[in-house]
Formats: sequence, C-alpha cells, structure tokens
Amino acid sequence: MRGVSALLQRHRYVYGSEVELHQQLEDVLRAARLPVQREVRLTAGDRIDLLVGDVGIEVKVKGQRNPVAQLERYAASDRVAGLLLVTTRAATVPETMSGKPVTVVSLLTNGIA
Amino acid sequence: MSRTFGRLMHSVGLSDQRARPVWLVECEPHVTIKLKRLFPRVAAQRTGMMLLIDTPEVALDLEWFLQRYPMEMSDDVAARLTGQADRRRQQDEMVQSILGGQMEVDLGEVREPARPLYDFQRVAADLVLANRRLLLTDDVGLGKTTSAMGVLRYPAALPAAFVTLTHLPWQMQREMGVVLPWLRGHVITTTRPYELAKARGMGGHDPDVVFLSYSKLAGWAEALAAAGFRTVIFDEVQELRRDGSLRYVAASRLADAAQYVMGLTATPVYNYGGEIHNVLNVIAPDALGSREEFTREWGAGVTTSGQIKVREPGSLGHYLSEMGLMLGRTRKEVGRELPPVTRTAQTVQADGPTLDSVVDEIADLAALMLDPATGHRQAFVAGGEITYKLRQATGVAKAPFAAEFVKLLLDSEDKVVVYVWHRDVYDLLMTRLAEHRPVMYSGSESPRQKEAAKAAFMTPTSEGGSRVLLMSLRAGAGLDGLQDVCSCVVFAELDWSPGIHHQAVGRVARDGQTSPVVAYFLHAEDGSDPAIMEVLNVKAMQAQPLVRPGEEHAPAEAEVDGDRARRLAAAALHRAGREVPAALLAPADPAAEDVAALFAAVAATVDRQPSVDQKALF
Repeated sequence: MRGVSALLQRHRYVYGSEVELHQQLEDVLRAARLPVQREVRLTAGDRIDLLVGDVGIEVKVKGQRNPVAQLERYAASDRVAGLLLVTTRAATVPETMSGKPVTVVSLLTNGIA
Repeated sequence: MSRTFGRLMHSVGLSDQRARPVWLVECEPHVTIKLKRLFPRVAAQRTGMMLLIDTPEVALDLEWFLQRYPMEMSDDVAARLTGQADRRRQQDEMVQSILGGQMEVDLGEVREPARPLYDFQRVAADLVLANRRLLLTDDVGLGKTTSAMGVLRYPAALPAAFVTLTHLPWQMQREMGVVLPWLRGHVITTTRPYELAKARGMGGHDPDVVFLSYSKLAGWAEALAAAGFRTVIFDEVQELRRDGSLRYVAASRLADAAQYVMGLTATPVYNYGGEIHNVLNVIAPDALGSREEFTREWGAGVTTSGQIKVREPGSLGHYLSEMGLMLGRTRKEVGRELPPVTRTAQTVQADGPTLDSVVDEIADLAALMLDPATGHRQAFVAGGEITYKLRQATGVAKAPFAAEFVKLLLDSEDKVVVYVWHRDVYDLLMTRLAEHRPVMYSGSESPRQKEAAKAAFMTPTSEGGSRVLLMSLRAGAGLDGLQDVCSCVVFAELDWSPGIHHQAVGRVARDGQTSPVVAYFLHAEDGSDPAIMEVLNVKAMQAQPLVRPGEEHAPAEAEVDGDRARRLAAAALHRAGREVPAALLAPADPAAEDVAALFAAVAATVDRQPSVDQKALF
C-alpha cells in the first residue's frame, strides 16, 4: 500500500475532470503492472473509484461530499485491506478505519511541480 | 420557389457598448432552436430576433446553416455573406499552407536579418504578415522576440511600435541592433508625446521602430496611431489580460489603426481561461465574439472577481490554433530541446511565532468582514488585507529556512536566483545571505538599478560577482541572459498564478542554457501556502490545456475557486486555537468546502489537538 501511495504521489497530472484524473491514475498503476479495477461496487450504494488488489483508492478533487463517511463504508468491506484518499486538497483523515490503514495521497503540489 | 424558414438581415448593432456589424436572424421557432445549438454565442433580442456579430468565421458557419434552412435575404446581404465566408476560406487556406511550409509571404522588398531566423521563427513572422493578426505563444525562451523581428524585415511593415515591460525596452532595442542592424530604433522614455524625429540621437529622422513600456501606452497610443504606425508588437501580452484599464483601451486604439498586430507570450493566461478573450480582443477584435458571446459559448461560470472560467480550455486552444490566431510550439516540436527542467516541491518549516503574531489582526479583520453592518467595499478591503497579511507572515516565517536552504544549494551551485514577493522577506534574505553578495531585482528598483543588479549577478563569482539574485516574482518576465550563468531557481514565496511560476523558471530555462535546470518551490505546511497551492492547481488545469492544446485531451470542469480571504482567515484563527465564526464556514457559501478542507489541513499541522471533530471538518 505504501508502494502504491508513493507511485501515485510521484506523478504529475494534467486533467480536465475528476474522471480524467481517474484514467491517468489507472494508467500510472497499469504501467507499473498492477492489477487495477475501476468503479468497483463495494457496498450497496457505493462504488470506489479504483481498486488495486486489496487497496481501495478514492479520488476527491472538489470535496463536495463527506469522504470520511464514505471511506468508513468502504473500510467495512471485506475486499479492502487498506484505503488511499487521493486528493488535490489539503485534507486529513483518521489513520485507521475498521482497523484498516487509511492514507492520504496529497496532490497538493500538482499545480507547482 | 423553394421553401424558406425565415429572414437574414445585416445591420449595425450594439454589443459591449460598441457599435459593430451584426447578422440578424428572424426564423421559425424550431429553426431558432437549431441555430442556438450551432451558435451557442447567439443573443436573443427582445423582438425575438437572433443577433450574431459579423465575423468571417460566423459567416462561414451561417452559410452552411442556410443550405439546410434557406432564408430570405436581400442581394446586398447575400453578397456580404459570401464575401465574408470567402475571406474565412482564403484565410484558412493561407494559414494551412504557411504552417505546412508550402507558402512564403511576398510583400515586395525584404532584407535578410543579420542573425538568421530559425525556420519556425520565420513561419511565425509570415503568419503575422499573411493573417495580419497573431498571438504567438511559443514556449518560454524560444525567441519570440526574434520571430517578431522577422516581421520587421519587410519595409512594408514599418514603422513599428514594440510595446514591452518597463524594464525591457533597452534589451529589445539591443536585440534589434543584432538582428536588424540597419533599422533606426528609439526608446520612448516619457509619458507625454514629443516629436520623435527631434529626439536626441535621431538626427532629424523618424525612427523605424519605437520601443515603449505598457505604462507609456496611454499617453502615446493616439500619437502613434495618427503617425501611421503599421505594425504593433505587444511583448508579454498577458499585461493586457484585464480589460477596461487605460492601457487596455490605448492598446486597442493603437492595434485597430495598425496593419499588423502581434502578441507575444508563453503564458497568455495567468489565472482563468477567460483572460484569453481580453488578450485576443486587442489583437483581433471580435474573433472570439464579444465578451457576452464568449461567455455564453465558452464560459463555465464567473468567479467572484468577475473572471470567466472556460469550460473546455483544450477545445478553445484547438479552435484558436485552427483559425491561425494562436500559434504555440513547444521546444520539442521545433527541435530545440533544452536540458531537462526539474520542478521540485520542497517542504520547509515556517516559524510558528511569526504566524501567530498576525492572528489577532486577522481575527479583527474577519469580524469586520463578516459584520452585516460592514459595507460591501469595506468588507472587500478587509478580505484583501487578510490575504495580504497571512501571505506576508508566511513569507517571513519561511525566510530563515529559505535562507538556509539557499546556502545549502550554494555549496554545489555557483549562482542561484531566488524569487521573493514581500519587502520584509527581501530584507531578511539580504541579511542572512550577505556573505554571498546578494543583489535585488524587484518592482522598487529603477530600470537602471535593475540593469546594475543583473550585471553584478552576471559577473563571474571569481571576479567578485554576486551569487544570489533576489528577484520579484512579477518583475522578471522577458528578462534574458541569466541562463548563461545560472541553472537553479528557488521560490522562497509562492505566487497565486502558475503562469508567473512558469515565467520565472523560464528566466534560466531558455535558449543558451547548457545545464539541467532545477526549480525548488519552498512551501510550508502552514500559513497561506496550502490554500495557495489548491488555487494554483485549479488555475493550472485551466491554462495548460488552453495554451498547449496538443498535450491535453479532455474537457475541464468548472470549479469553485472559493473566497481566499475566508479560507485564510479560518485557517489562521483555527491555527491559533481560536473559535472560527460559523459564517466563515457557512454551508450556503460555495467556498465552504474549501474552507473546511483547508481547515483540516491546518489542523493536521499544528501541535494542538484540533478543537473540532475530525469528521466535521469535511
């Protein structure tokens, strides 16, 4: 999970929409030969943006919804052993949810470097 | 007689308070719907008629529309339509053949430059001469000035006015002396017009090219237009990104009177995509329609400060290139790649007590800003002050660490350019870096002092030259020469605009650079930096796809920029463990989300336990 986080953090993205950022993240992960799935249904009402093995990745560019509640629902799923929140915002989340590690991948520097 | 669906008329209409030739369409309701779809810019009149400003581009589309939905029109109107559409067709053909290298412009007499132009520079010059209007957005350091000189190699393009930044007329004149040494140049130094032939050194002759700064434009535009200046070159044309100013009106006046108009900049958009409309409206009026039309067609909302955000910046960029109005090549495209540029975001510490010290003031200002009794204007001023104070405090808080960082770099680098904004930060860095003989190049030095600072920095270190150039974030655009002695820049403070950062790195990442360039962006996890970086990302995603459409593919979505002042105030108050007024986080305000996110980030960086439930932060 730390490897995935570092991999995503290293790249710089030019995107027009959140969906396009998803695509670019997927490209980065695929290039590293990681098994990626998009839009995976983890609970009755939610799809997580990306799933790499058992690491769930949720992307938040605008932050119009409450990601903590959403992440908690994902964390409760058996298919997930850990969660990454990829965001261009300055954000913090609890370190663990349902006993699983949660890490913020900050793309805050995306606009400068 | 075949069926018709309405009537097409031509008239003079008002838009943006300017009289312009317009098309008026009166048609059946279902055709109106189709028309609106094809022309998102169309304006419905009170009479039910549709109004479109008459440009060749619109005429060509209209002609096509009329094949499907024929309309009645007088012979004059039909002739006008065909004439305008033909103009667009010819223009298109010409642009394609010039870009394809199959056509050269023939304007009669021509003299070959003493320093030959590269092919890509010649193409840019020819496009100006053929199309008469061009925004050249080649990447930083590709010699846009030389391309502009290419236009002036034709006597038919003279006399010319070269408008540039305050510190650059002399550099441009020297450049012309190298490329086109036979031309008479003159630098205008006063705001009030005088007789050019009688100026010192002119020997009674009128100059071929005058060089003047944007600040002289308001005084001189009328005189130069009246004197029949045939070419106008706007260097660093992003200076015209705000309409309505005196210089903007003067620039339009001068451009309208000229045969050839060229704008040069690697960064036409500093903030939001709509700035391109203002810039292009000087160079090629109405090419993108009026401001109203542009907003309807391309806009994705307007920021609180009245700036237009562009919905699909990439498509707009493609469209401008297609029309031959904008030409922008990357280094790679023209085969002039430089050693790579590395941009590194470097977290540095910020001095806590310095940031704490401004909190009282910010609390007072925030209270004032949120008080319903405060007038709109006063609230605006208070908001501006919050932004200013926190950003200044952040710069000062970072300064000691920035100084240490620069010292560290100087162990391996010969010379370093350091970008700064606030006076206090200059002072601190001057003191702390004194052993390296720092010099300043900022807004408050005179052009001569700046030249002296540059000279000191250019002098080899072994001969007592300066090792550190402290440069204002917004003073350096267009400056040439630093690349010969330096390949390392440090941002001690951040700007609100990614375009400014790009320009700043371009001072050393340009033709002549032989080493890999490294740019360090020093940012703190505290103070104003996190908020600024969020805004930088939003803006970068507007500007990059627009200016370099080839490198991007998808639509940009409108995003709420939020209200800087509110965000910063909330962050600062929270940092100090103060109560944050609920109004700063008002849910009705679209900026609230931004405040919340920032709030969370700040909470994470302070030692104190956040006083609010983590969950509530989002």
